[in-house]
Parts: sequence; C-alpha cells; structure tokens
Amino acid sequence: MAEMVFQALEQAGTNFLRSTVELMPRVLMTASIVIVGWLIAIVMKWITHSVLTRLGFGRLCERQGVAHMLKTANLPTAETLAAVIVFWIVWIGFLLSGVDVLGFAALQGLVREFALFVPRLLVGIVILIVGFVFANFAWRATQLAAVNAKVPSPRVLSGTVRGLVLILAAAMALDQIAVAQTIVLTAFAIAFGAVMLGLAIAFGVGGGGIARRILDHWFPERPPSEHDDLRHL
Amino acid sequence: MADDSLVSDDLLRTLVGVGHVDLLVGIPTLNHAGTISDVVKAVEASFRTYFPRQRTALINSDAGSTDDTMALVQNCCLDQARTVTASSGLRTTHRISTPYHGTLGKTNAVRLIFSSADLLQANGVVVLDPDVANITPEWVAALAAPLRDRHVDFVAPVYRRQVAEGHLVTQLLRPLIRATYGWRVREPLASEFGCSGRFAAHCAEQESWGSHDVQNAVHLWLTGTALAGSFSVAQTELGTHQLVPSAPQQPLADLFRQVVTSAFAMIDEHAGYWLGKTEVKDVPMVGAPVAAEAPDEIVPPDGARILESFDQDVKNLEEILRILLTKDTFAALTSAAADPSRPGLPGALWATTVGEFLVAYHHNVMRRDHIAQALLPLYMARAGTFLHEHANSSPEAAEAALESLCVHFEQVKTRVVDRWTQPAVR
Repeated sequence: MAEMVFQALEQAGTNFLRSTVELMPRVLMTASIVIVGWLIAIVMKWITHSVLTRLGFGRLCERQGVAHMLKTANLPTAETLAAVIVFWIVWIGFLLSGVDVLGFAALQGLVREFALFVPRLLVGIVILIVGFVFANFAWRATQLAAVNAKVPSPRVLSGTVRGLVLILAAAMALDQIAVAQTIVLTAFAIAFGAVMLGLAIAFGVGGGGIARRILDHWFPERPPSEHDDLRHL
Repeated sequence: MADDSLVSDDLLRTLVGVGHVDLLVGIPTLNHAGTISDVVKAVEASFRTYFPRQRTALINSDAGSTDDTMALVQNCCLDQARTVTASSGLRTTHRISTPYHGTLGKTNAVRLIFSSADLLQANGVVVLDPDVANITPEWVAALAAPLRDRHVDFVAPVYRRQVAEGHLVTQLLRPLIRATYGWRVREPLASEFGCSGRFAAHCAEQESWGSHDVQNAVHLWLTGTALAGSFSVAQTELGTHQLVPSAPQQPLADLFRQVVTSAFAMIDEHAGYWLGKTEVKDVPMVGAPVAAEAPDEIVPPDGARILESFDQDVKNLEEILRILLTKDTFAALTSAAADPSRPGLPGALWATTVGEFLVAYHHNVMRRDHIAQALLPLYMARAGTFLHEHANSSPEAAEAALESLCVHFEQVKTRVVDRWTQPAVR
C-alpha cells in the first residue's frame, strides 16, 4: 500500500518536473517577450512624444481647445496622452504574445482578438479626437456668435452644443470599439431620450414665459438699441 | 502689367481709343443710380475747373447694377449752375462705364481701375465712393493735385469727424496702424484716395488681390502697402464725410470681423517693415482744407448703456480671453469690467488688449476669425467708454483724448515686438 502511494507520488513528482522543465523555456520566452516589449513600448512612447512635439501637436491641440479640456480634466498634455496610448497598445500586444507562447488553452486566441481589437480602438480614438476638436470649435463659435448677438445665456447655449457633440462622439467611439455594443446603444438611447424628454417637459411646464421672451428676443419688434445707433465707419 | 483676364476685349479697345491720360478718376458702383449722377457731375466739374489742360478720364467699374447706374454715368450732364462756374476743358474728357467679372465687391472694382490706369499710363488715379453724399469737385482736386504738383504716391483723406462717428477708425485702426507702421495716418480705411500711376501699377501687379484679407478691406490694404512700400504718402483735408442714408450697411459682427482680420493679417504680413521701427512720423498734410458746410450734429448714443453688457461679456468670454490675453491683462480687464465706480475700458488697457490680440493672431493660437470675434465686445466697451467720457466734450478735448489713445498704442508696441518673435507663451 505504502509502496503504491510512494510510486504515485514519485510519478506525480516526475510529471511535475517534466512539465516544469517543458514549461520553463516558454516562461522564459514569455518573460523575454514581455521585457523586450516593455522596452520597445518605452522607446515607441518616447518617439511618439518627440515626433508630436516637433510637429507642434501641442499647439494644434491648444488652438482647437483640446489642450484646455485635457487640463480641465486633470489629464496630461496631448502629446503625453498620445504617447501613453501608444505605449499601452504596444506593450499589451507584446504581453498577449507572451501569454500566447505559454500555450494555455484558455488563453489561446487572445492575440488574434487583440489584433482585431486594436484597429477598432484606434478608429474609436480618432473619432473621439475629431469629436473633441469639433465640439470645441462648435462651442467657441457658438459662444462668440451668441455673445456678439447678445443672445441670453451664451455659456449655457455653447456648453449645451459642446456637450451634445461630445456625447455623440463618445457614443460613436464606443460603438466603433464594439464594447458591450447593445448595452452602450441602449444606455445611450435611454439616457439621451430621458434628457430630451426631461428638458421638453421642464421647458413646457415651467418655461413658457422664457420661451416667449426668447422668441421676442430672436424676432423682436423693438426700436434699434444703442449698439445699432453707433456709426462705426 | 495689367491682368489680362480682368480687362475685357471691349474695355481694352476703349482704353486703346482713349490713349494716354494724366488723371483717371475711378468710381466703383453697384446699383448707385440714386447718387452716381452727382458724383459724375462733381468729377466733370473738377476736370473743367482744376484740370482744364490735363488729359482726363472717368472710369466707372460696375459690379452688375440692375438699375440705370451705367447709363447714368454715360449720359448725365453738368447742370446749369455748374456749367456756369466751371470753365470749359481744353481737352476731351472720356467717360468709360464697364462691368467687371469675377467676385463682386469693391476690391475687384478697384483692381480693374488700377489695371485700366496701368494700360492708360495714367500719371494719377483718384478713386471715389458713390456712397458718400457730399463729394464735391474740390475733393477730386484735393486728392489729385498733390499727385501732379508734389509727386506724391498716395494721398489719404482726412475727415472732420464728430465724437459719435467712426469709432472703428478712431478707437482701433488709426492708433493700431499708427503705432505699428510708425506713421500718423488718420484714415487708414478711407474709401476715397488718390495715388500715382506708379503706385497703381505696383498694386495691380500684386498677387494678394484674391486673398480674403484684401477682398474684405481693400482700402486698408492699399494704405498699408503705401506705408510699407517705398512710396511717398500725404494727407489732405476733405472736410466732413457723410454717407448717403441708403448706403448698404453690413451687420457690425461681419464688418468688424472682416476689418480686424484684414488689419491683423496686413500688419502680420508687413512685420518685416515695422518690427524694427521705433519712431512715429507725421504724414505731411498737403493742400488747403476743403471748405465744407457744418454737418448735422449727430446725437451721440448713451455710452453708459453700451457699457452695461461689458461685465457680462467678459464673464461670458472668460475661457477664450484667458487663451488670448496674458494673466495680468485678463485680470485688469475683469477688474475694469466689474468696477461699478468707474465703468469702462480705459485707453491704456484697451491698447494692451489689442496688442495682445495681435500677438495671439500672429502666433495663431486660435482660429483667426474667432480672435477678431472675441475682440468685438471689448471694442464695443471701448466705444461706449469714449462716448460716456466725451459725449459732451469740445472737439478739441475729444481730439486730445484720441491722441492720448494713440500714444497708449505706441507705448504698447515695445511689448508687442518683444512677444512677436517668442513662442506663444501666456
């Protein structure tokens, strides 16, 4: 009996040692891939940051108002953010390649899925950036036009325009990435519908007077103001 | 050499028939049937009275009038009273009325006049604006005589302005152009001017005509080109400047955006000329002032009412102004806007603000028409401040205040030059 137990243990030990010996090179390979990947990701991060800085990406973002938004959200500068994104994409790619080398059945195919996911992620990021830029352009243009036209509450108006464009861009980006697509779509539709319905009810119930005033302001029957009397030329 | 595509074959034939002229008067028009006859009569009377021995021609560059403007140019005659006072010319005076093609607007009309002047080898060119109600023969003489007698290249007018008019010129363009270019030119945006054939030919050759900045404010561009080029510039007093009531008026927001972006673009383009200039010189006044009837007094709008929105406008534009202005200037602006004891935008702060907007424009920190749009509420505050302070002042006191504003702009120039070549740092 004791001998049987001993043989079983010996067999298990032998199997364990064999498996370990077989696995060890793959672990080492994985570790090498992860470490080399990390180094490459660091280099890619540095190159991205340098190239974008030299190309004046920061100034472009500043001009489009993206830099201001990043600062408000306590995020790093646009060049740093882009470099960090590149770092993580590259390193996660290497990390998954390393995991793939281990040969665990449950983790097989992760690299392929990641390779399919990265382009969608990049397109999503591009949509988000374009959305940011367009939202800021629309915000600034609306605010300036509203202030110069003496439209009441220009900040609310321009903020609403920016918010709507950002929500739209975020929804489009999430749809592109296809992360929990149904949930995102449903959540967006419910939230957007709820907000619009809420606004419509609130405005209808409590804002009749405001609506009248706004319409009076937009389509006035009034004498020219002091501004109109000025002879600028 | 004149642009061939601009001058039609018919016009070319006409110009060849006219031959060489000493003085060409150009009038850009678009549906000016109501006023064009008076302008043409004034020009004809001027030719007969002041230039009887000169070879003269009048060219009407029309943007496609649907009324009788072009026919009136060809057919209107000097009335009895003027025929008596004006002596007969010794030479034939030619009248040309021609449509032009391409983008509508005064720019292409002026360009066609310059191209025609180049082909006619005109010694002098005078351009008049048919929207002005009080053009007299003496205006043409005042603008043209210095070209002939003193060989001046560009004659800018000087108008007698009331406190309640011309704020875009007096509060912004005059001090800005004076401080940057270093010349005390009073009317950089005037639509009447005289210029030599040499200057007209130089301008006609330029590639800039098609740019938005020239299209939007061609008269400003001509003034800047004359000041920054090697051209002799003079000024002449024309008296008052009264626009006809029916003159088309652009919405202020559009007008301001166009004029300011054009002014900033021109200053940016001529940076090589003015960055090193430290002194400000007088532009010589030539000729006797044109006698003019006292104009109807314009009742100034209430400056305090214009200033009511200043504080709110600054608050509304806070994020944008923070990008365009330095911290100190933004703080001073906020403080001035919020100060109930002394409302308004003082001249020194206005000069600093405009200087920083100009630098922001140069460094392209924001879409450029947004920069001009952001300046409009501040300009309104400055105009309101001036009206509030000088609505009841004597013309001399108002003039002294405008001179003081110009000096503030000159003082700001050093800081503008310092920041011009630095990267956009706030």
